[in-house]
Amino acid sequence: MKSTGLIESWKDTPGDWGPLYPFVGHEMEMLLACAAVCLAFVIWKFRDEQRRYRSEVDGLRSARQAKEEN
Amino acid sequence: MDTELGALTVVFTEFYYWVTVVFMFLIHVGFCLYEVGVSREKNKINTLMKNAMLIPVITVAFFFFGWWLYFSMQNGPGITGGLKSAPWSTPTSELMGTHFGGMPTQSTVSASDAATWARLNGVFWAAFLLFSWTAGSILSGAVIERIRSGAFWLLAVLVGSVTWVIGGAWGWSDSGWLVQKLGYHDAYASGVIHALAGGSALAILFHLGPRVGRFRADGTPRVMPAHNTWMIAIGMFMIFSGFWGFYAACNVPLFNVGGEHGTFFSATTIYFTPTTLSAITVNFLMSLAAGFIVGYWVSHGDAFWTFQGGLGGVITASAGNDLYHPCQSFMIAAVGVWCAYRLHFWVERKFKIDDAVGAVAIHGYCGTIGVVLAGFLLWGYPSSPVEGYAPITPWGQAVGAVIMFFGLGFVPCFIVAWVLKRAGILRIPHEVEVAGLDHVILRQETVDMAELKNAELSV
Repeated sequence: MKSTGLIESWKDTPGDWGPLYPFVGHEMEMLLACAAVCLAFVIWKFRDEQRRYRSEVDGLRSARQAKEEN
Repeated sequence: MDTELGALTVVFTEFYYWVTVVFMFLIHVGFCLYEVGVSREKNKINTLMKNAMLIPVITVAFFFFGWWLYFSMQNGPGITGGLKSAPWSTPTSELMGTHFGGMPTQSTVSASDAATWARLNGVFWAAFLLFSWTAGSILSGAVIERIRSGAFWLLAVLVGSVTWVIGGAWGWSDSGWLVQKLGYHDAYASGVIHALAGGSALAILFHLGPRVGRFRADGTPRVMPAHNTWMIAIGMFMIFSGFWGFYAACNVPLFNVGGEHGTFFSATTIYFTPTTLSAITVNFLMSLAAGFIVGYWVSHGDAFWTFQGGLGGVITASAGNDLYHPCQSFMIAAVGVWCAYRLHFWVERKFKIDDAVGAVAIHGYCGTIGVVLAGFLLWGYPSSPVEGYAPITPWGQAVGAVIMFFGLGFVPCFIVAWVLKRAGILRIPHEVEVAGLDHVILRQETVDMAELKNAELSV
């Protein structure tokens, strides 16, 4: 049976086995997919921090103003 | 043992498994730390002892019958053959004791058995035992703060010395019927340990019910803050450290894979299919990284779910980490953790399931997803070097996943937990839960401290 990798039988000559992983030849696509996830995470993190700190600063300033007024 | 090379191979293999046992101990240090950290102050001693005591109860049960079950049940029995004979694995076997490999005295033990198992039986037994403790510990976290310890230990023995062992016999052995007939592939136990234990935990939680106060009248969950987040983080780190031993123990360190082509030594999986320690090292780390990243993202930086995500990532990729490219491990881990996080909260809302530590999600759902995904990525790969075994396929993996999570995981524990509940011995009394499982200890501590203070003042 054809497989997603280069290996069709473990009874072949072991010395001939090279890469054992599936989808040999698509390493660049796989790398780009991983890189996309990592980049998306970094972008999300920067945006999320900006939003969160803005909201926290607003909250802290309001609390300080309220305290000063009292 | 009569040639230097032969002796070195045996002693190296013996030492290799011994080292994995030492590493896997850290998993249990970690489980204790993180469960105690999650529990509230008023329950921490009970939580510690409930988890710690699964160690001796599972050890004894595994010695009495668990090890024998692993070998004897590989054919079903009744699917690919009958009960298998395994005279080295019974508790009264001379090979369970110190043995030098010479002529056996028991008629059930052959000379070949003695020569093969004398130096390896103990360390293999121990490695499997540490897997058994892990299966029990996975249950332990989900049920904290309201299960009776006695009931828990019975369920831990069921999972740790019976059901996971049968799952291992069927799908995590070189001749298990799931491997022969369905090409089931689960190199680092996504299904046989994690999905199975996760399914078991879910079943128990159905009968146990949520902690008092966990859900509001309108059904929305309340947050129950952990009493020590730092302890949780350290505990999870310990589990990650111990997981290295788990991965190494799942391999056979040195095996001749040359067959008819001559001698060619390699590390292999439990199925005797080739892999390398180098490859699983990279894959472990990449799946851990993806799990951390996705866990952090979906939970908006929650410490608990970020660390849980790391673990879930490794668990998802474990089924095929012997063969995946690191980028594949990464992507699979990412998918698994995202799905598990969403499913955890959906199940919580829909069924009012109070899983205190997300064990069902991280182990059950991640493990199940990992087994299924392996069927697609490794489609067509041979499951074994033995001729005639089915190849790895999506349907074989799917059936295997259902058997692990539901058949061997959920169903047995659902039945036993129901019996314990009917007998009134599953859950602690309401008043004790509200006061805290440690309320007697804490009250005594207050009395002791007062007496000590008086003694100091009177001097």
